[in-house]
Order: sequence, then C-alpha cells, then structure tokens
Amino acid sequence: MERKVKLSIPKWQWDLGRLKKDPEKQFFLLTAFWFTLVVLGGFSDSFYFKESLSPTRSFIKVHGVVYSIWTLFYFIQCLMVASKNVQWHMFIGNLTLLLLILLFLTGYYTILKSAELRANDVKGGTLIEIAIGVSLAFLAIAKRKNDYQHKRLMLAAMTALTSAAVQRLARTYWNFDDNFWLIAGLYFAPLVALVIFDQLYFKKIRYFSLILLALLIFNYFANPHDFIFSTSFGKSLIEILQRLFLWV
Amino acid sequence: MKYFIIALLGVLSFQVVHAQQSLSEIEQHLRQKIEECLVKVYEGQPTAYAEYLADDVVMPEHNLRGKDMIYAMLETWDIPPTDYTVEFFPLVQVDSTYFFHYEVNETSGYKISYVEQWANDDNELKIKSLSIIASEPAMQTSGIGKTRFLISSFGLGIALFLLLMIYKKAIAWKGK
Repeated sequence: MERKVKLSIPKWQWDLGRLKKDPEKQFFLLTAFWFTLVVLGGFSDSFYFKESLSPTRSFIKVHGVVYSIWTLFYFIQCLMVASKNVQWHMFIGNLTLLLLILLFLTGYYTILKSAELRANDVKGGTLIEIAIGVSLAFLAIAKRKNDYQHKRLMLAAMTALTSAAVQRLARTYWNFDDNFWLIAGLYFAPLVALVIFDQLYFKKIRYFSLILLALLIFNYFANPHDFIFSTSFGKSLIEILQRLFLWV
Repeated sequence: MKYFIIALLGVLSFQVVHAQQSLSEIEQHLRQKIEECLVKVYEGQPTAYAEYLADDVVMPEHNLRGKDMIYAMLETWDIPPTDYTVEFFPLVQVDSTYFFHYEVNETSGYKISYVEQWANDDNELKIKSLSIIASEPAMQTSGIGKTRFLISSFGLGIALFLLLMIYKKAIAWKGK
C-alpha cells in the first residue's frame, strides 16, 4: 500500500493563553530575553557594533553569525512554545541539528585558529565548554518527548554556550576589571533561577536542574581542562584537533 | 701620551656629538614625513600612510602582516576632515632602528596614538612595525559608562521584577 507523505508548512497561530496562565512558559521566555540581551551586550563592542580600526577576520564573522542564529533560535523556540505554535517549534527544531554541527565546527575552528594567529596556547577551557554545551543541546533534542528534561537541558546548553558573552559583558560592555564573582554570578544566574523556580513550581525537590547546575559548577570551578590538557593524551588531542581543523 | 689621549677624547666627543646630531636630523626628517602624511590622511586619503610602510611591516596587536594587509585596513578608515594637533615624543634609537611615538589629538576629542618602529629598507627609512590605538573622547579606563549603566540597570531591574512575579505565580501554581 502506498503511503502518502504530505509536506506542509505548519499552521500558524498566536495564542498567548498558556503563557498568561503557566509560569513555566513565562520563565523560559524570560530566559530567552536574558540570553539574547547578554549576547547582544557582550559582543556589541567586538562584533555587532564594532568600531575598531582593524577589520574582523572572516572566520570570526562566520562564527559570530552562527552563534547569533543559535541564540535567536532559542528565543524563537521559546516564543513558539509560549504562543502555542508547537508544530512550528518542531519544524524549526529540525534545523537546529544542522545548526548545532555548525556551532561545534565554527566554535572549535575559531579557538584553534585564534591560538595559532596569536601564538598562544589553545584555550582548553573553552573547547570543553563548547563540547558540554553542544552535547547538552543534542541530549535535549534526544529528550524532546519529555518536556521537563528537554527544556532544562536546553537552558543548561545555552548557559554553557554563552559563557564567552557573559565574560565580555562584564569586561568590555560594563568595562569592569576581571571580576571573578561578577562573571560567575552572571554565568550561573539562569541555572540558579531555574533551580529555585523548579522547587517553587513543583512543590518538591526536583533533582534534574540541580544536577545540571552541579555539572556546570564543577566544570567552572574545578577546571578539569587544566588537568586534561596537561596530560600527554590531552596534548595529543589538541594536535589532532589542530590537524583536523587547521590542516597543519 | 697626554696629547694622544686628549686627541682621542676629542675624536670620540666629535663622534658622539655627530651621532646626536644625526639622531635629531632623523627625528626632524621623520616628523616632516609624518606631518605631510597626516595632512593627506585628514584630507580623506588614509592610504597615504602606506607610503611609509615597508613591504614586511607588521601590526602585532591586530595580527596584520605585510603592506597589503595594512593597506586594506587603511582603506576601511573613515576619518572626516577635522582640525588636529600632533604631539611628538623624542625619537629613540636602538641599534639601527628608531622608535617613534606621537599622538594626534582631534578637536572632537578623539585621540590616536601611534608607535612606529622605523628601520633602513632599501636605503630609505620605512616603518617595520606599528601600533595604532584610537580612543574616544573622555574614555574611562575602567568602570561602566553612564549610558550603559542606565540601560543595564533598567534591563536588570525589569528582569528581576519579572522573575519575582514568575516566582510568585509558581508558588500559587496548582498544576496543569
């Protein structure tokens, strides 16, 4: 028997009824605004509204565009869920798989190429951060049937992937000196807010968001990248990555 | 012996004085070049600066190497015609290279600081390495600017208020 496959553009609607009632939808939409503004502010001087005398290199432009689209997608996806456009949310979700691959490739290339051009050591911490963020996002997509886990995994992924924006927000947009606790506060703010929200919303201890927070706290404070990339395995890994991405 | 030492000291002194005069002559020469160049730059020809660059010139802080790359950068400069003053700092010689630092102060308050390393390139002094730092008027070295403080405070205030409202609703939430 033939199967008819119908490809159609999802139906569009604008129903904010659920958003008005359900604080969970409101919370995640608020996080969408947060991440968008953090990225916009953090990269305003170096990318979006750059006034430097030197031109931006092409690979940085590509990296910036890809990560901007990712941030925009998070915002749009939260909006789609809030406005009851679930079909659109799933439709756009199919595109995020490709975007995640680009995110990983452009992110790693930027880190490795920048290190090569500046004759600096490769920033292992950022490599780990991107790997965590992309992995959490892939896991979020895999868990898309479970609303609860899907949303929280995506928020954790966004937290990991916007760490560079948070640092630049504090250092360049606000022009503060290197303030460790300010940057840590900004970085963990969305996840801490989520943990508090979950306890209030579900009226019982929900461990999932706590585990995600613990994972990122461990990565942030324990700095496992220092240990990993100081070993011979870690150094070989860097060499392999340089060969793969930079063809050296 | 006494007269030999006096004569030797005389020759050495002459060499030192001559070298000092050479340095000041070179400084005068470079000043004139820069002043002529700045006139053209502020007439809308920023690429006039490239005339003084060696082929293997570098701009380390922006990781630009070679005259072509820096020429391409100069082409992107958009400097409007404006009045300016130039403050030159003494030329410093290290072996056969000369380090030249000067600052251009525009009447708008914009300040551009140039640090150049000049050396002999095909019997002509050319720039081998340069650093250009531009700063806007009344730029703070640290601390947030007033506009950004207001925007950020407003944004963070709104976010915190909305978060508290959401928490309040979450406490009252009885399930779907």
